[in-house]
Amino acid sequence: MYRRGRRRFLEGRLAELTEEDLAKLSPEQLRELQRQQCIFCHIIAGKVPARKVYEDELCVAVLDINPGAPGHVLLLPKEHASVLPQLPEDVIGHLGMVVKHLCRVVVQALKVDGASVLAANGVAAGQRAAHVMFHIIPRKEGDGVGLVLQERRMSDEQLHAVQQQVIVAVRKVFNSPDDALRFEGVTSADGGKQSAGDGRQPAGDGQQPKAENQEAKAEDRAPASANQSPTIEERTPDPKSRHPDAEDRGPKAAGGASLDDIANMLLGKR
Amino acid sequence: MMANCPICDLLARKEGLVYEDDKVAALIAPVPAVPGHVWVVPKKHAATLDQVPDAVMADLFVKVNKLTIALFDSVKPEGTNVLVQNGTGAGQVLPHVIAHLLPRVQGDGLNVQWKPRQLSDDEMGTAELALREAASSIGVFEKEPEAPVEVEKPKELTVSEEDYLIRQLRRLP
Repeated sequence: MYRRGRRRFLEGRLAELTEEDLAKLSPEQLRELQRQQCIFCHIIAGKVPARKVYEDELCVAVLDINPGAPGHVLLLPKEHASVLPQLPEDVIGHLGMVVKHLCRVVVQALKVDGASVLAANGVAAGQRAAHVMFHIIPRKEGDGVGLVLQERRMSDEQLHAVQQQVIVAVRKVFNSPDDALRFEGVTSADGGKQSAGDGRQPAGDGQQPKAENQEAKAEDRAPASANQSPTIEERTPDPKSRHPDAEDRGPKAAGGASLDDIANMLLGKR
Repeated sequence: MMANCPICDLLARKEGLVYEDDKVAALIAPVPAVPGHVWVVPKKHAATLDQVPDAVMADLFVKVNKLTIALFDSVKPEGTNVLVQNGTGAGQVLPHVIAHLLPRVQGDGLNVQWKPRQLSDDEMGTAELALREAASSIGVFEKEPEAPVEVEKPKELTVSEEDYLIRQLRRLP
């Protein structure tokens, strides 16, 4: 029944719209279009049958039709978002609590030894559908599901360089240098008092020129890709869809691209 | 803080730390699977998700998201994974809850895919029923505890040994 419903959904999909048609649509209409194209939004709305195991006002949990193990659950926010950073923080927090309880439920009900929780942002991370989801996969030792993290050798210097790089970004994202840097042992040139732009450069560190180059590259890339392959959202950013915190961070988050830009880039969408 | 927990130990020494607040900390994984691998952990020791209070879970996920944005900004990956190995069956090695943040690029050699299985309708139905029944227990989440109010027990209510003896004496005929 489920599969038949899915086929019907795919057949009933909107005919491909031309770029011109898309340009005429309002941001609201584009959002709606995305929702109409998202099979998980249809599952959430009950238009496509699925094996629902949990539902509340913010999220739905259904069984994956191609499970990694019996009882493999997908936890979906009801609100449509392609990648995690597009969701409001209260929804993300709620998902965290539900994930915890679903892990407990999976272990209790299926008599397994644990559960793997996995989310993917971007095709490179294995994301296949344009709707945020958390996989909760019941696990037993030696079940062959995989999800093993192999250690990669990195020198202390390499680890320290990454730490420096991430700290600078963390300070920017959290927008509160004092909170984010309540620890010692880390070179911080600006003492956390300068603007985010200046804060990008760690003190007297070999990383400095490299970081600048990367930033420059990222800024070059963003407008170029917008020219070559304009995406739906790049042309008409929808302010409503933005993360509530987006305004705090300014309209440009994460290396000069908007969250919607990132979402499109990650999903390799037109 | 728990003795013999490598994570609690790292937190105490503030080693590799990139973020810290009262509930959650994030550190560069000392044994990374990919460059830029970050561990987001609850600061209070918890071996599995079960032991993490709901309010801390919510906070942990919010911080996971913020750190994801920070990774996009710094490590500049093509994507990210969030992975929690909850329980030994799931490959959990360390005795402390860890949300792994993994910056990803095409062909980085990290495999987080599984072999999709086709189960019969019966098998799917059985799992669905078992899970739905167990999941009916979900719904009420613990709120963040209010600042603890110290309720001092009124002194006069405590029954001291002396009081007890006196009462015993009074009871004698």
